[in-house]
Amino acid sequence: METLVRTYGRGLTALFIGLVGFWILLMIIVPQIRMIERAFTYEDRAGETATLALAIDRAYTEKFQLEQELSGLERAGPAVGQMPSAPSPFAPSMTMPSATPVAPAIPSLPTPGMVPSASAPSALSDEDRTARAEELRDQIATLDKEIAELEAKEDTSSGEAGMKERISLENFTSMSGLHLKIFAMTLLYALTVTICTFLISYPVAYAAAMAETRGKLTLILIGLVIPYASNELLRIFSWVMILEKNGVLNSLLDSLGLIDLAAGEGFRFVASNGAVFSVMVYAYMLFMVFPMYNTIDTLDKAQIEAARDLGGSIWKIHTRIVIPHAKPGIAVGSIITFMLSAGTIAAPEIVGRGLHPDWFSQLIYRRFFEADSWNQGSAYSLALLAACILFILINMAIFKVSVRDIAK
Amino acid sequence: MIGKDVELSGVSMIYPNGFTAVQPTDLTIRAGEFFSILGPSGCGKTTILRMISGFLNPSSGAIAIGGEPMIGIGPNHRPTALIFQSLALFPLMSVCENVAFGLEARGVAKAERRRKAEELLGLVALSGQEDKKPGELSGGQRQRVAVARALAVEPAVLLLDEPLSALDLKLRQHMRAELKAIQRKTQVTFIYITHDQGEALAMSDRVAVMNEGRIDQVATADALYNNPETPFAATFVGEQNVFSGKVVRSENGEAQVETPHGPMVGINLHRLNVGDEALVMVRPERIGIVDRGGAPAASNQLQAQLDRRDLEGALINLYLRSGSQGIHVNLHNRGEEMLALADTMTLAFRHQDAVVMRPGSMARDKA
Repeated sequence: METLVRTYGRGLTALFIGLVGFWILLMIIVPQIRMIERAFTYEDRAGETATLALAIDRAYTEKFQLEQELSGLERAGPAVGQMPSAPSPFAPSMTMPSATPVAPAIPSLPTPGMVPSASAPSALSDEDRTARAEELRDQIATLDKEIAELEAKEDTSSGEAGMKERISLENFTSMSGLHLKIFAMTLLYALTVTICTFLISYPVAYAAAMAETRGKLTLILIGLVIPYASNELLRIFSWVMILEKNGVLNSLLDSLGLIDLAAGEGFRFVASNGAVFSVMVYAYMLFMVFPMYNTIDTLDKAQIEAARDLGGSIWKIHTRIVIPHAKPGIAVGSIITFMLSAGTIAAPEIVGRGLHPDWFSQLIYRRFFEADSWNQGSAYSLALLAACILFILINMAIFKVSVRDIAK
Repeated sequence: MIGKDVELSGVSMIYPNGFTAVQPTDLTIRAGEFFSILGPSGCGKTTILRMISGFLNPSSGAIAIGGEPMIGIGPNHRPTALIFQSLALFPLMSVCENVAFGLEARGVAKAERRRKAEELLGLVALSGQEDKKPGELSGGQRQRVAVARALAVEPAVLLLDEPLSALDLKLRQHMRAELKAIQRKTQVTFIYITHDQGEALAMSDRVAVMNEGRIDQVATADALYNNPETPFAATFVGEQNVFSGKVVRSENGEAQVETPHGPMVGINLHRLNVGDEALVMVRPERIGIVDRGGAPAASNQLQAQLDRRDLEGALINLYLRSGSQGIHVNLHNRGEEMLALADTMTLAFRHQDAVVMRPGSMARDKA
């Protein structure tokens, strides 16, 4: 702190600290706390209060519709008389455009309960209109009474009308067996992706680290980085183009004479776990290659030569010398790959097309935006986060690396 | 363990970028010998070592170890073991695992590996350190672990690539004696690469002096020092005063050279003829000062002024000047009176202590 002030002066130091504080607060603490808070708050959708709220909502809607019809009648003829109804709390906010007479298309069929068209009342005689208006006013009055009763029953102590919230573990415990299975399978899938990525990345990282000339190394690294210059979605879609039934891969097999596309043969590579895994391995390879490359690069090449000189086989050299040395890099790469693949939604959604087994991330998405249950979505997210943290800890224990090693 | 001989015939190395690291070379290293290759950095000595160990394939020529041709055989299948300059111990393995690595690679059972490793660590005086990591050992101990690890695979030829260069002087001198002792005990052929003439002279049975990819001379340490055959060998090993001039007389294996400092007579090593350019070389300790006694009669003489006098204890180094030529004289300290600086004195040396050579490349200033 003092050194900072001495080096940069008071103003800049304050700015630095302010920015760091802002970052920690807004990027880390606030979202996490909000998520945790939501995850442990249970909204009882099927409970008594929820049904009550629903009933009140329905009553208000019905009342609003009746009022609309009534105002239509009043506008059609002055004989209906002034009978101002109590303004419904919904009315001001829910003035529908169709309430104004704009579409005089269908002259008949005044459907009660529906927003009446403007031409309908004019077809009726004055007496009929008055009788109908009376009827409507009666119905509205009954509804008002009903609403008052319902609202009296409603407990507003929570300050919020509608669903009752309470601190509970129910968002977690209410997870269905199917969801739990998807959760477990997702972790397994992510692990599979991580292992596949490692198996493919290791030789690449090793080759890059052993490259004798700068030129060779540059070539390898550029080849790795170039695909990442395009958007992740584009990369995924390009894989879809390759794997599709009429895609590049099948065309290749066709031109080799192995299958006959014209006759409808061809493999549907997409929408399978294999396709999703391949796309993810491709998408996350770089995150595995670079940490490993960095650690292997620091290995004294003489150690590899020494091992070879002492008669070590390729297998022995890698398992006893290179991999133990690269452990921190492997740990970092696996952690990043695992976290990314456990949390990804684009690849399973686009490549999977809903035809392959669901990933947990898709489930979370649907909790949020389709089931409209943010609290349960938060709970699912939190469960995934906890699983990922657990994975990191296990990973570090297996590789016997500490956070300090990783930082290196 | 038993050493094998190593034979290089016409071995050369030209790197893909066109650089010739080793000129076609013939070299025979006898079984069980402590052989050093001495040369400045970049002279190709490490390239030779790597070709013998199998990490490099020579561009031409053949290498045989114990009579068996080695071309095309990888380092892991040659009867050699290499000790790297950096030692290249495996930092994540214990000392014992390091030593036993070669045995592990050969599929030797664990208990047997341990027994063998302990035996070897005993040989290099490291008993009781088996379970430490190399990082916990001192420089000299690490050195000995590297030797034990290399010996574990029972090589016929042990190749050492300047393994002592990272040690401080005291330790280096101690390790020289120890390496020599281990070599005697095991009878393995040692091929030792160094740029340090002291190491080469102290340990070796024979020494090869290398320069610019070529072996200048192969000789015993004594012969190399006393009878160097090329200007490079003469100047790289030990100190040398070099005077250049022209041969004016040649008879009885001796040549007289006219130099700016007067005529000098020495052994005509390269059988130079009258009129040839020549170098006269004489070692600092073979030069005496006339009228201080000890200067031999009928000798080469020249006048010089004393620039600097450094007392080194048993020896006194005198740096003199004759014209623009610096002359280094090495006297035994006999407790005599101080010589005054800027004094002109007469130096003298015997014919048999001076060598007349054909000019050639010489060692640049050594560190």
